[in-house]
Amino acid sequence: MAARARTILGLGVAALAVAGLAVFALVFRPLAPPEQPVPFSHAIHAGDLALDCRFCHWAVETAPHAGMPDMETCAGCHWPVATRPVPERLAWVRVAKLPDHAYFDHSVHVAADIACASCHGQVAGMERTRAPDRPWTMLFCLDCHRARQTPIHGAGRLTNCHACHR
Amino acid sequence: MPATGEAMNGTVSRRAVLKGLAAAGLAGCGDEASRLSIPYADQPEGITPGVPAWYATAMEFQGYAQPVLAESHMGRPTKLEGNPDSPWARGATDAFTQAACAILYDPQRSLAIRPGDWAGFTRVVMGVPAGGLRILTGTVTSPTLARQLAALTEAGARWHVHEPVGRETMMRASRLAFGRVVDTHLLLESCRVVVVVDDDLLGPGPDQVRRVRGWAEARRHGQPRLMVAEPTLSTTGAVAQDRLAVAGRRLPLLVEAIAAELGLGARRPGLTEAEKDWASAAALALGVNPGRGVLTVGAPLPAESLALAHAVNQAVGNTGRTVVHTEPVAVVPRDGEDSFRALVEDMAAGSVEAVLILDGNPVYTAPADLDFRSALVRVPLKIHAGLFDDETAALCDWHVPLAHALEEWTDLRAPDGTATIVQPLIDPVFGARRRHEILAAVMGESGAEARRIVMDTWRPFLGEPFEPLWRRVLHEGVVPGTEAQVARVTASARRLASPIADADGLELVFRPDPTVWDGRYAPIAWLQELPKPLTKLTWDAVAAIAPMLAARLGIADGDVVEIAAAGRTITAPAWSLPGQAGDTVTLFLGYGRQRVALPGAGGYDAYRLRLADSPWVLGGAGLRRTGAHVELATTQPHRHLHGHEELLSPQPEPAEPPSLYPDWDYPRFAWGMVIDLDLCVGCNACVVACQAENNIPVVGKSEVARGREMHWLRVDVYHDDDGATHFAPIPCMHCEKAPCEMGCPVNATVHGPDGLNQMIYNRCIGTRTCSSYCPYKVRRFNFFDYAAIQPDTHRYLRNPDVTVRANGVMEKCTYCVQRIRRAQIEARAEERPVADGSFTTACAQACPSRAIVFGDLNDPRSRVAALRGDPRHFAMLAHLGTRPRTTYLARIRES
Repeated sequence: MAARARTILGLGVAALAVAGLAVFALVFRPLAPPEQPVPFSHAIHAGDLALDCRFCHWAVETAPHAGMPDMETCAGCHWPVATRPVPERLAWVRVAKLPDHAYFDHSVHVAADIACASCHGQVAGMERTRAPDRPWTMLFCLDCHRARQTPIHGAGRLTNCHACHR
Repeated sequence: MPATGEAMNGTVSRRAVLKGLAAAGLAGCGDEASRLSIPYADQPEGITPGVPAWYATAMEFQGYAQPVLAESHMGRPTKLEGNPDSPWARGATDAFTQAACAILYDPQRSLAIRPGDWAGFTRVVMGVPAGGLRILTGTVTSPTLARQLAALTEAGARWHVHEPVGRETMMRASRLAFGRVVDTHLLLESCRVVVVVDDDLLGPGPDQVRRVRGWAEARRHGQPRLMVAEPTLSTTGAVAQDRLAVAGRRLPLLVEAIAAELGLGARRPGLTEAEKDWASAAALALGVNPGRGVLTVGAPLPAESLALAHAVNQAVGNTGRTVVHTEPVAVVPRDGEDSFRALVEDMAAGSVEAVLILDGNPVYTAPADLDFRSALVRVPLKIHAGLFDDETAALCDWHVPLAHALEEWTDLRAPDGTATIVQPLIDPVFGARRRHEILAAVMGESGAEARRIVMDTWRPFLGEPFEPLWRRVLHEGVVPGTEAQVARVTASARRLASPIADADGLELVFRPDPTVWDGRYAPIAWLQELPKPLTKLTWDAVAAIAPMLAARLGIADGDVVEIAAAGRTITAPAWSLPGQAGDTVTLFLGYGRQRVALPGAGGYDAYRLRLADSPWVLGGAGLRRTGAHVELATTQPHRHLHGHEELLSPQPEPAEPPSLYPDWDYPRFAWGMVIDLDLCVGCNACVVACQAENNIPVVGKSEVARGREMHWLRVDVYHDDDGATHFAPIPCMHCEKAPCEMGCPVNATVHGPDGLNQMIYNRCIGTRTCSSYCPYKVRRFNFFDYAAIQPDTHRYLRNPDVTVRANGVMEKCTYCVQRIRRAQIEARAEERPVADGSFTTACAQACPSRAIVFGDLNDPRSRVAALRGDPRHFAMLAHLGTRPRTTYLARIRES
């Protein structure tokens, strides 16, 4: 009886371990790029053509959101004015999303000379856009906020809760 | 539809219906939407996602403009601020204006024209011969509306005005004194003495913002004396230095006594000693301050008394200095003060073929003795245009949903006459129609566009080149050169004796409700849950009686009484109100709505006792207990200061208790707030501004009764032993030694490096320890998912920069941290310091008296730092050692 119980317990522990590993792998795997309405390639635009990020993400220096380009921006290069069709709205699937309780502001990070790639990863090399390799956990933000905090900011200025949450 | 506790208790559930409506009319934004990022196909100019756009426009209150700058997030109006360029508003607003966005998205607004469509409507109205048409509106200041009404009148139609809280007495008095209608403006800022006889100068009303500012300016620069005689406590009475409670019917005697002391007419006998003393003191104060005082008499008194006050002001040299008469800002209808009665008589006589009721609810608001309802049903074609499908709409053949001011193209004039072009921030949300287009349809121009109609009005005034000038006035929100012209009038010195009513029985006085006004705001949950300034009641109207009368009749607060007058009766919950004249019962208008009422709203219909000839005072009333009792929801059960005077005044240097906790270091900013209790008039603008800014939910009457209201900022009211009333706005104190921070077991409330006491929702597990540790009781707990029971359409109202709090989470005032962060980020991007006064909290921005000052205590030149050095400065409950950074300036008491 006791041996059987031990076996069951052993199997249970093994099963839990396997399940745990599976969950771990699922959570921390590099996310596959999602299907998008247009097979847009940052590798061509930001990589080969070396377009500045701000060419399309126009609000990044002045607004909390970086700004997504409107279709007229795309059409500006892709379609000559004379034959330009009436553009359609595109519904892009987000690859980079912060939780609602974190208030991130692009403009202040750009003003502090944080490169886009330090959070978004090497987007310029992505054929299909995917989430950054390091997930955006609170620790991800804090690593930087702790390191960059100087006496000018005041103790705890960048690491206090209200810096991001309100 | 209301977000109420009633919904949660399972007694009412109309959310399903609303969900259907929302799904049909407005796309949702659930998980699917937040997974997607949908940029514009063609980015409109001037819209940056995440950065609000601001437009100058105006809200309407009783026909008058309340000029604002409106904040728009991606096309959604979310918040209004007073227009700083308006000489009338100077950046401030009242409580009603702060609630305007909530009205725009109100789910009870009517959705469709009925019974047919717009084309059918235009066919019907074009068939009406102009000669048989009557148009009924509220007060009209809009030059475009006036132009259209004049054109219709020219064609044979007749225009009438009905305003439940109207200006008829003022108009009549003006005719008596000056022979014609003029407006009277009080320059309170230059007054050394203000004598008020039953006129709620500083209370709610279309001119509140300017008057409160004027009064505050006078208080800042001197010690003006405010003397008030009134039958029931008003906001003005609450801040007065000399207040006398006198029955309404005796007040004309007081005015005559003041006039007699100043050499105008003879005093009539019958004044009591106290009344004589008050009148003599008032006359003396007016006499020794020629040109620096005001005598003002309110609409509840007979027109003769008001006219006598005009003569007194002229005799002591106030006219032209502190009292200025101008040409009327509102257009005077043909029948003047009798405009509405003339309409009702013609309708009852059957001589009206069609009536168009433009934005009003006379079936509910007409005086009972006129019997508007029976007269209306005799009219063959009845058309109603309004925001709600209300009592009047129900009796009409046609109902047209009317555009809200945020959807309108029109123009309005503020009470000082300055015009604002009202421009829409959004296309009509519920298929509503703009008023000028409705009138154009009546004139046979069904395709006319409201914007063009308004431009046509202004083309001759602005001149050429029109287009740039038009753009400029739209952008500024003020049309220069439109202020009311000073009228050179002289008050006739003839003897004006007022009729004095008989003195049997009790006296009823009628007042507009301080939060739902004449009933027009009764469907708005924000304003229902807004505590009334003097009783702190929510969701209800009471019949206010004197504490002595309550004791004599054995009536407790909430006991239902039957009130009879002029052959009609109503039942109402009674409430004893300090400062009430002994035999006076105060009834508040605006409750007892039959349609578009909110579940949970109580009260009674005071209009059922109101008479056309004496709309404000009615003698010979009876009152008896019915034995029933209702529960009233008040947010402040104890309102007597007795024994707790230290709450509102500086104490002889309190020994600051030692603390075990180390002091904080604030290397950059140290935000702080100072509230001047001498300037606060308890108007509630700050409370609604905070609600609009910070996504504060409405919880419903039953939840308020359990003490679960969610307002982050409250205004306490206290009565002291001397009979004086005090207001004290109480936001979070952001203590240096905050008990809440020490109490929280999970560090969800912590001290920030800029002094803010931070509340971190995603860490909060809802133990409520912080709230029980807080001596100021400013923390609010989400006992239910209150955010989820707000109307679905109110999603569009929310400030995207503020978290919508979940069930089980504590919340409180953040000093509008979203505004602080925005100011810091902008300053950083522009590489400049954060300038003092470059931004402020929502409460401080709305405050008409500028009693609330917010800023950086580390900046020695900031206003808030300077106020901290004022001798009146004190910290509330300083002896507890909390060292609050919201502090107060004590009220100045004259003795």
